Amino acid sequence: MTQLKHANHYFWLILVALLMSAPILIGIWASLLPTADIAAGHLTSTNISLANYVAAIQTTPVLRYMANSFIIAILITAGQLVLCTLAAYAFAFLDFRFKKQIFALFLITMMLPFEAQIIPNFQTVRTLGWLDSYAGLTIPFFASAFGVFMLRQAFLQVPNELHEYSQLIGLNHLQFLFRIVLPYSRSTIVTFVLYMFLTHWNDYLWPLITTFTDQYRTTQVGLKQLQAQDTFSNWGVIMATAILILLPTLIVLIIGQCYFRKGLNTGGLKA
Amino acid sequence: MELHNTPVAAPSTTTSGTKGRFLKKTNAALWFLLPSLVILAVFTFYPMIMTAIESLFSTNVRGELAQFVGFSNYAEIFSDPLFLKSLVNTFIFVITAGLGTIALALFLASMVTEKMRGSGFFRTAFASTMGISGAVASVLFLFLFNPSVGVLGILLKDIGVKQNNLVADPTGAMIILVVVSIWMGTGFSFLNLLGALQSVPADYYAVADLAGWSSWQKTWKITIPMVSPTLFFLLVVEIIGKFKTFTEIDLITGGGPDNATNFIAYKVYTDAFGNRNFGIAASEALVLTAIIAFATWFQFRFTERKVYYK
Repeated sequence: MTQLKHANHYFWLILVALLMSAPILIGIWASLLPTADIAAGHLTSTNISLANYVAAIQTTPVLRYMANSFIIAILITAGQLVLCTLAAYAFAFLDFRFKKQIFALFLITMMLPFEAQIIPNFQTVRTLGWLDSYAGLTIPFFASAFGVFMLRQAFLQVPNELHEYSQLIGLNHLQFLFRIVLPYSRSTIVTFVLYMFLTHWNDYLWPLITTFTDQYRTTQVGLKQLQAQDTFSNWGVIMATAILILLPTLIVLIIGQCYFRKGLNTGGLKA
Repeated sequence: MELHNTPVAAPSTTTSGTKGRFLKKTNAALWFLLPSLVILAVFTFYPMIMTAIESLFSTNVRGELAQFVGFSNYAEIFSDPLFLKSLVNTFIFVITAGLGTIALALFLASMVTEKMRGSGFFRTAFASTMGISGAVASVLFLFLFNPSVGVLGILLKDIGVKQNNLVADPTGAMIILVVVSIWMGTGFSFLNLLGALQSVPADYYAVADLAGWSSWQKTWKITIPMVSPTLFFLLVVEIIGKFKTFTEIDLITGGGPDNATNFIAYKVYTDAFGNRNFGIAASEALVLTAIIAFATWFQFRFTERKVYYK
């Protein structure tokens, strides 16, 4: 009876896992097939090769775009981790004047769609001379109300006893932050870093309007151009480019998963 | 309370501190908040104010303010059937995709947390959609739903549901966008809920088992109340995120067919950069902003009191 229940459970899990992964798996498979076979609807063809990847690398600057996206995502994530941690700490542990109002101010920015800011932001970045540069692509994103909210929620879970204890033994703010709050919140920190890196690896509207040369252009923009040019002619190369852009993302996620299991299994804080 | 000389805030003391201590605390907080506040001021609040000003002006093709027109831009968009249609369709999309994402994520997370073999594999599989960009997801699903080369497109044709491209049909285009949105959003919600479920004490379930509760009862009486802070957080984030959906519309449907998927965020973009009508686009952007602000306020007002905090 329990075995049957287990088998049933696994059946559904595997089915859903297959369905969820299918778009990626089919995409990877198609990227290995000659475009002629795809166009003829022969997805069961076994003429697999890396020819589409070679073509993508040779005919498009996709590697340069990937390097740019990588640099941008790293810079933004690092900047946000520092700024959001500091702000979240203040909201979670400090008492200060206008705390509620300032927190509301942060939350309000979560409600303000980026589309509503893009024209003035473009003008600001142009005035600063940051168009087509890493500064222009990263600095506007260094503050994140979403990140602050996420970290604050995690910091609030730190037990009061730990806070009181750290005050008793005379830890200052930074000591309390680094020795207790961050370790205690590490699964949220990992989620935060992964999410921010991936989000900005995937940025597309802002790079689209603020970059003009291949020196700073990012991956998503390249994919859009390729897709717009070649939709009906070269599925093989399009899929290969899409998978190339996806590959670092999947690697980061798998690394994150390993960390997650370790972190979660270690359990509570050993202070 | 003042055993040490660092200005760590004492938890929940009343406002009885002296003025000196008060300033000390405020100063510390200022340094923690200042970097974020500066960036937000320059790249969020200033542009919002500029957009608000622009919405009260007519503009030339280069986006420069031409003439003050008061609220006539707003009057214009609210008498425009296209904009009203865009509003309705945006709501349909946000509600369907938002609730779908969280429901699927909770279902998956509750299936994986149980002590079981291969949970790592399933975690990776379900979280794998988290990092996928709108552009990549769009290309993958355009391929899947393509009626002549895609698996789903061919399937739909074979079982006689749809002969043409699903994207060419107003309902079909909406369905594809909802599917892509749920598929993309599930990973993040799943990971968060998984983390939250880990922190639910196993004893609670053990006691429930002794009391002979069904798994349905356990879900509603233990799991959901215990993960409610995370659910609340995800609800806010998902709804706001869906309202801002842009990339997939741009790549999959282009707002069509017949404006069925011309959601507000996309309409703002096309009115600004396509039609070069910045004043109209700015007022539409502020309507979008107002809707998102209201949704968020509504959620805070009516959800937070039911949320369980430690």
